[in-house]
Amino acid sequence: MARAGNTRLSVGLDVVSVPEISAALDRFGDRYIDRVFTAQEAEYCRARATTAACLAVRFAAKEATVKALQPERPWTDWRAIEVKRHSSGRCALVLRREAAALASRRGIRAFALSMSHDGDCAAAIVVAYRNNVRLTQRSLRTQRRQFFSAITAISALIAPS
Amino acid sequence: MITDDIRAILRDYGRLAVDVASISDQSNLYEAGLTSHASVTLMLALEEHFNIEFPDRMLRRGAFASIAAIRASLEELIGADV
Repeated sequence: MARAGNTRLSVGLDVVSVPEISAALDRFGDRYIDRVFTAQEAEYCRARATTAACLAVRFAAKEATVKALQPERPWTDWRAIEVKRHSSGRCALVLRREAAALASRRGIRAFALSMSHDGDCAAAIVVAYRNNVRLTQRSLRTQRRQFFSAITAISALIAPS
Repeated sequence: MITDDIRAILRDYGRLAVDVASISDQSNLYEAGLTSHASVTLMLALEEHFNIEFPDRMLRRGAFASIAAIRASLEELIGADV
């Protein structure tokens, strides 16, 4: 994790072998796609001539996202991390279920994603951003509220009736 | 018997950095080189071989952490001593 000014950055990088994805596709077909990719990802990549490379770069993006999220155990819910392609061609991440919950717990406010593939190699990098200053101020406000609530409650308990 | 089958499938799909024969049933497979993607194909191959499907709850608790963990999950899914 690297710091830049007041913003804490978490970076994930992953490289995937396109032939490995191709072999999994040949061996397991739709079962493989359905366990790893969302319906939208599958539809987009199936329509491409380079289906394996398209899927490989998306798996790299999912794995890079997991690295940026820093979960405490091996990740298994790959469909909870989706690469969404906008009409402009720009790709962005959509997180669901445990991935979204973990990002929230980590205080992550935004992700930046870049993907590329060339020949047998597919790669993706994900940068997760969170602003420490705002989180700290919010945390302090919460702690202050809790402190005064506790003082009020204690005062009520010890006040002579 | 079931452990032999797991080891054979692990040899074919695990893409480990070490020989499967050299690791114990308790060895951490991720430390032995099991990648995220290889764990997916390993899961699919195990499901096909044993005619089962790993539920999400089982995957979340680390079903592929070791050969012993895989065996425990399979025994739970098959519902019998195998």
